[in-house]
Parts: sequence; structure tokens; C-alpha cells
Amino acid sequence: MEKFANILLKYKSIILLIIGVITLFFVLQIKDLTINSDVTSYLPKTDSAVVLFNKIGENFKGNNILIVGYTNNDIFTYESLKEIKTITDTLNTIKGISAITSIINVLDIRLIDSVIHIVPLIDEYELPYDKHTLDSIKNYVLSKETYKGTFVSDDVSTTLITVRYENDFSLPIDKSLKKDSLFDYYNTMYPSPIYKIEIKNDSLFIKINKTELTSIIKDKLKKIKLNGKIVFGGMPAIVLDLNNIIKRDMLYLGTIAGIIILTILFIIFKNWQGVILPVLIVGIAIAWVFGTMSLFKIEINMLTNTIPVILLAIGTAYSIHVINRIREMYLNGYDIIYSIKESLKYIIVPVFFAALTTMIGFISFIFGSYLIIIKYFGIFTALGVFYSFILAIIIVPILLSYFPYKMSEDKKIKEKNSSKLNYLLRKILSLCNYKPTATIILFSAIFIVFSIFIFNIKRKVDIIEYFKEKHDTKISEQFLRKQFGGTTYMFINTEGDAQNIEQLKWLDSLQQYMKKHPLVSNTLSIVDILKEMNNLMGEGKKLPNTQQKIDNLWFLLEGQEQIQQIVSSDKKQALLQVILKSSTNKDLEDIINYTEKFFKTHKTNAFKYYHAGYPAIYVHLDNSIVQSQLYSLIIAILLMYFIISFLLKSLKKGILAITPVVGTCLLLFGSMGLFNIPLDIATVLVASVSIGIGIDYAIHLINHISYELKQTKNLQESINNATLISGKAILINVITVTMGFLVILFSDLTPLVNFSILIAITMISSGFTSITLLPAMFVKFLKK
Amino acid sequence: MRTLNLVLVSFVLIIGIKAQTADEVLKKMDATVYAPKDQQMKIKMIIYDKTGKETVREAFSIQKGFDKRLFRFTAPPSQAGIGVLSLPNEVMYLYMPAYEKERRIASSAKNQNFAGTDLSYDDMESKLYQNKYDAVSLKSEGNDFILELKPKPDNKTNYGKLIITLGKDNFYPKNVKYYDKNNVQIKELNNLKIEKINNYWTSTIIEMKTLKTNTKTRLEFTEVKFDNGFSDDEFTVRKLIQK
Repeated sequence: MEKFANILLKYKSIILLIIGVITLFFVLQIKDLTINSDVTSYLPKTDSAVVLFNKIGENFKGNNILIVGYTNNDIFTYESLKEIKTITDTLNTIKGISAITSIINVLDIRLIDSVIHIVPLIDEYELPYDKHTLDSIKNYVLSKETYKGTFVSDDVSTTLITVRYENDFSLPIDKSLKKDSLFDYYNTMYPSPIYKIEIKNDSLFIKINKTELTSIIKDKLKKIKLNGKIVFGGMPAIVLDLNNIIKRDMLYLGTIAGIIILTILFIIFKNWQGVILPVLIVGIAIAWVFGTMSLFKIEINMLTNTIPVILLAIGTAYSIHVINRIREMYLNGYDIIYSIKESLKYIIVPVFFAALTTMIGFISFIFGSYLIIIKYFGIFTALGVFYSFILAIIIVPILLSYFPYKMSEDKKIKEKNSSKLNYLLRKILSLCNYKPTATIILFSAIFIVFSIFIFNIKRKVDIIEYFKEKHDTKISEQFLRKQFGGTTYMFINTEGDAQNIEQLKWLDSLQQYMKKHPLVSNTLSIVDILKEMNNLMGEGKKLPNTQQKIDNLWFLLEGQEQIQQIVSSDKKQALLQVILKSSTNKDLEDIINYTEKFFKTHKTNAFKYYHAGYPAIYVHLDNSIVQSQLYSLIIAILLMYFIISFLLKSLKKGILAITPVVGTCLLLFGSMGLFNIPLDIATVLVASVSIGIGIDYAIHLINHISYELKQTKNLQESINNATLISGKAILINVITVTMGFLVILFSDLTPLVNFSILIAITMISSGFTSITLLPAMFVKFLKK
Repeated sequence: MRTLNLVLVSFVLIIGIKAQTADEVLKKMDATVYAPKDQQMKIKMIIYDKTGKETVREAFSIQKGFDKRLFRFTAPPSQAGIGVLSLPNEVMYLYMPAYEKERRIASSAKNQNFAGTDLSYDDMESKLYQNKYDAVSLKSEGNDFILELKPKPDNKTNYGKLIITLGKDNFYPKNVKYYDKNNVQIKELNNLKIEKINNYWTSTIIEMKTLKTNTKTRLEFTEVKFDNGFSDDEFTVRKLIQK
């Protein structure tokens, strides 16, 4: 370690220059980072729910459906219809949209005086304006199951415009085009930012930037001057809002967290070195992490966006420990260079193990989690911890050697003894030293009481629950769910021959069966349309009774835009769209079980059938969250136990070190049950994060006690000295981290708010158990 | 003042000459395209989706004048026998052999695609361009005229304008670009094989592309015969339901 310190101080200018260049390189990469909040990307691409969902998108004009709700006193007035037409026309000008369905362009097939009328429901070129015509259209719409509650709300105040997004697709490269003109040609056809073109072998892979498309749609529609109101719903709208919140969180909450941490550090250290250094180091580490993410083309999501705040919280600890140690030596009268060299000799090992165990806490997500989003979070937070550690042990000593403390002897003595934290620590120490058994019993009682509430924990994956109650997105979504019975789509696909009468009969039975479920608000399939047409041909509202009749009716349906949403272009697949009233885990699981029950009782080998959509994705997410939690925890605790036992060269000390951590976990889960905080995509991470942080504290304290024991040969004195120095650093870290995390309380995303509350609980618990329970256990169990 | 009047008069005259020329070209184009008294042909429709996958349909069609047409599908077998009879005043009958019934259809869904192709009912309509569109400008480019058409006020079309490239020699359109109301090109038609059959210029291979969906339809006409002397009896419901 001495060698390391010598090299560091000898080549300090070159080392700083190298770090500067690396930082500049990473900062330049950051501009290419993109954000992605798409729920389907949380699961691995190979997940069956994702594969089937994407398959539906490819075959049926897209699986991403933006809902544009237009609301006015009565939509059946000339003014309202004109505004709906303007909205539909505006949408028609936007690329990347595969289909728009509104009451202005929906094709209506009806029989009047023995003549089949195939006409748009409302003639967009001659919008009706007299009351009689408008009333007759209104009555007709309200009398038809396919319109009422689907396109138009029961109170005729709102109508829906469904906007389907194109799916990503591949194209063979037009070989007649030369390389230069190739991109010009395709860029004109598929302009950015809506499309992103990638060349893969002999074909072009064209990706739709759905968030950008939603943003363009919203901007264009908001520019229209309307008397009515527009609300947005459906997954694309939610994803866009999530992205915007992520951007806001990163910018504002990150800055506020930084300022709060700076302020607290200034109050504690009262010198700029203690304030600037930890934040500077974490700032560089954050730039390196995001730079690395950009290099590997990893998108920011609603978990990785918390990395800056988490690193501000955790990463500052390493610098604080290094600074604190150097400062303590300096206050004891040594000159700065000697203080640096001696401090580094001692501090690198515990800081390294603290960083290592924290990294393990995060890396455990890679092996323990099925969810991609959590894996990335684990990898890049661990990397951030690693960067923070490396930078802390390099930059802090170098900069302190350039800019040493300048204190008079009097001030040093005053600084050393007057700290309020020292006073608090002495009080705590006297309690633990004199009443160790009572301390142990008190903590055990707290842990047991909280663990009772663990069984109350609920799980939640409904994305709309991510938003706070009064957030616009949630209000719009709830409004649309109320007016139209839901925006959650479930798709049931049959794959064989969509025109085949047997397949259609099966689909018909399934549709009737699904309609009976109380959670189903609406269904649509080709069967509805065939029945309608068979009725027009004078044979009643039922499926045609021969294959030939179905084939004939198909002629009229071909090419209709709305048909392409329920029958694939190769006419092999027919889709049943089911709109659900609820999207809670329990209800979605219920509807999936209900659907699968039909599959079991109506088995056939004639064609394939499966369900897809958000219910399956949510259920997979839900199951993965529990699985992630369980595996990550077990992996993290076991690994940490072995590492800490190895470090302390004692299995017994290992158990002592891990006890406050396990206790904190019980307290944490108990709090979730007690305060009704659900286990979701963000809160699932807390236990492993808290293990990493808690173990840091234990390592610092136990290592320091062992070090003092070698010097003083007196356990009591060693505990006192260790708690006063390392305990102080722990307390500084607890206060800064807790305050830093509490900034996330102002996020608009509920899982992140809950995440910050839980981290605050875990920090306080880990910190206090480390400086109270841990010394008490040492006094009690290791005295001899 | 007198000079100004003269300039104004000359300007109006120039505009007038230009408009007249565009109108004349439009009329000549109509006269070429709709020259035959009647026609019959076999049609092969090849429909390509955006990945290039194709679906094939075949039909037989007879037509008299601009507004009488009988269209009968011959393949695939599932649609064979289906017939569409178009008569004046937008009267249309559909015959479905499986139901053994004809139904009169009143369709104002002109902008919908015909039988899954890239051609809309509007594109398929045999109506003189000059009755649906106004010629607004004309340019000369080498051996071609570039004619710009805008829909007449009563034309319920999705198109905002058409840019037609036609040969100066035969006035037959080579290429038509279709624009929406926002002046964005949405479709493109290419007459790939223009030939003279029985003294009439006609295109025996047509390709229509929909730019937004990147799909296209190729129509191949064979056994094209003009001036067959069809009587009105060929275009009746009785004929439609005859297999």
C-alpha cells in the first residue's frame, strides 16, 4: 500500500491528466444515450410473452396502440365532428402510423332497402350539420354494439381515435442503389427521428422510435385550436410520460440531491476539501458509467436513471472514508503527506472490501434476476461503485496533496473535539458498552415485530400505478378506462387459416366465452364482421354455414384497413381483441387462467392458438420480480458472508457482521408490509442495495476494531476508538445518503418514491445497527 | 397607365393560354386513354406486401364506354365466380356464387382499396379525368408533358393533387404521382408497358405503389381486345349471375 501511495504522489500530474482525458472521452459519448421506458423491454427478448406480443405486432398492423380521446359536451354536433376530422387528418400526415380508426373514417356496412351500403359512418366530405341527421347518426351509433362503448362513450361526450404504430421491420436492400444514394433514398422514405435504419447483411432493419412518434403526435395535436379537449391514453402515451419524468428526475432531482449532499458535507466537514471531493469523484464516476452505457448502446430506463442519485449516495462513502481518515491523522498533528501515506496504508483494504461487497450486492441482480432492466441496473450500478472506489483512492490523496488543509493548531484541537457527531457517538457508545444485552434484545424485538408484517407485502406491476394519483397521465388513463371500460388489450391469436370455417367457429366460441367474463369490457374479431355481413346477405347474424360463403364474403373485406388489425395479411392468422376493465395483477392473472381453461377444454391440433399482450407480460414481470428478489437476496447474503468471513478471518465475526444486515432486511420487508409499499420493479432492488450498504458499515467498523485491537490490546478501547472514527464516517454517510435519496420523494413515479423511502429506512437501520448493535454484540460475544 | 393595362392584358392572356394548353393536354389524354368503344381483357393481379411477399389473383373483365363494366374473378378458387357489375350513376351489383345471390351495393367508400390491392375504388373508376379534376399547370420536359391536376370541388377524393407525366407523342400517361391534401406524395403509378393494340394506346403492365406502407400491386393485362361490339345486354344483372 505504501508503494501505491508513493507512486500516486510521484506521478500525480500524469495520473490526473489521464483521468481528465478518460472523463472527456466518456462525456462525449453521453450525448448518444437514449431513453427507453417500454415495459416489454424489461423482459428478455426471448421471453415467451414478449415473443408472442411482438408477433402480434408484426402480423396485425402493430401492437402499440395510442388512444386519443376527444371529449366535448356532445360529439354529435357539426363543430365536434369537424374537430374530430381535423384530428384524424392531422394524424394522417404523420409517418410511422400504420392505422388510424376514428368515427370519421370507420367503414360502416349496413342494409337499407335491400341495398348493401358500404359507406363511411360519417361522410367526411359532407359533415352533417342539421339536428335531424346528427340525431339519427347518434341513435344508430348507440344502437350498435361495435360502436357504443368502443368508439363513443355511452353519454356521447367522448370518442376514441385509435392510432396503431408500425412495427419494426426488415427490408431487402434495393441493389440497384449505390451506397451514397442508398441512405438518401431510404432516409427520405423512412425519415428520422421516427425511423432508425440499420443495415444487417443484405437487408435493412427499420426500427420505429415509438417514443419520438408519440411525442410528435402529441405536439401536432396540441397545436390544433379546439373547443373540445384531447386526452391521451394507452401504452405509448404512458411510455412517453415515463421517459419525460426520467429526464426530469435525472436533471432536477440529480442536481437537488447533489446540492443537498454538498450542503450536508459542508456542515459536517466545514472545509471545501470534504465537500467538493466526494461530489466531484461521484460526478466523474457518473460520467464514466453513462459514457460506458452509451458505448455499449444500453438505453436508460426507469431504474438506470436512478444511478446518479444512488452513486451520489453510495459512491460518496468511499471518498468520505478516505478523507475522514486523512483528516483525523492531520488533526492529530501529522503533516498532510504523511497523513495521506499512513491513511492509505490502512484505508484501502476496508474501502476495497466495502466497494466489493456493494458491487456484489448489485451484481447479484445479474445472476438472480430474469428481468433485463434489473440486470442492467445491477451491472451499471456495480460499475459505478467500482469507478467511485478507484477514483476515491486515486483522486482524494492527489488533490489533498495539491490542496492540503490549512488549520492552526488551535483550530485542529477545536475541530477534533467539538463535533456534534462525536458527542452523539460517545453517548451511543456508553449505552452499548454498559447495556449490551439490553441493546441486543431491543434490536431483536424490533426485527421480530417488523418481520410479522412481511406477509402483508403486496405485488404490483400495473404501469399506470407508477404515476402519482394526481399526475395527468394517470387522470387521463383513468378517465378513458371509465368511459370506455379500459385501455388494456389482450390478444388471442389463432394461427392456421383465418378463412377456415372450423377455425372461425372455434374463435366464435372463444369470443362468446370471453364476453361472459366480468372483467371483459369489449371484444372484436373477424367473426363479428362475418356475422354482420352474413346478415346482410339475408342469412341472419351468425357465422356463414359453408366455407364457400366465408370465402365469398372475404372479397368485400379485403383491403379494408380495419380488417388488417384482426386478420394477418397472409390470411393465416385471426385475432381476437379483448379489452379489459382492469389491469391489476390479480385480475390479469385471473383472466389468463380463464382463457387457458378454454384452451384446455377446446383442444385442437388443426391450428395454433395462444394469448399475448400486456396481461401475459405483466404476469411474467410479476413472477420475475418475486423470483429476482429471492435469488438476488440469497446470492448476495451468501457471497457477502463468505467475503466478510475471509476478510475478518473468522466465521464467527462473519456472522456478527451479517446480523445487522439481515436484521435490516427483516425491518425493510416488514416496513413494506406495514406501510403498504408494494413489491414492484423498483422496490425489488432495495434489499440487495441495503445489504451492500449495510455490509460496508460493518466492514469499516469491524476492520477498524481489529486494527485498534492490534495497537491497544484492549477490546473496549478499540471499540470506542473505532466507533468514534469509522462510526463518524458511517453517520456522515447515513445522513448524506438518506437526504440524497429523500430527494427522489419528489419524483412523479410512485415506485421510485417508495424506493427512496425504503432506502432511507434501510440506511438509518444499517447505520444505527452498525454503531450500536454491532459494538454491543462484540462486547457481549467477543469479550474474552 | 396605358402601358400598365397592356402588361396586365398580356399577363392575363399568357395565363389563359397556359391554362387552355393544360386543359387541352388533359382532354387529349382522356381521349387517348378512353378511346376504345369497348374492351375485354384477362387481368393478373400480383399484390406485394412490404417485405416483398406476393399474392396472386386473376380476373376477366369486359367494359363498354366509361361506365359499364363487368368484372369476374377466376382465381384463386375461393374467389372464383365473384362478379362486380358497375353501371352508370354509381350503381353497382355484387354477385356471390356461394350465396347464389346478387346484392346491390351503394359504395361511397371510394378511398378504400379494391380487393386488397393498392388501387382504390377511385383509381379503378373509368371516369374521364377532366370530369373529376381541373388541369392547373403544364410543363414540358424533353419528350414529356408534366401535367398537374387538382380535384374539382365536388370530387370526394383523398387526393390533393395528381402529377401526371405523359408522352408528347401519344398523350398516354407514363407515370402518375398521387399527393394527399397536405401535398405529401402517397402513391405512384407506373405504366410499365405501353403498347399499341388495334390502333389504341394501352398499358398492359401497371404498377401502383403505396409509399406509406411500401406495398405495391402489379396488374398484367393479356388477351386485350378492343371494339368487340358489346351490347348493353352484356352488362345486366342476369349476365352477372350467369356462371
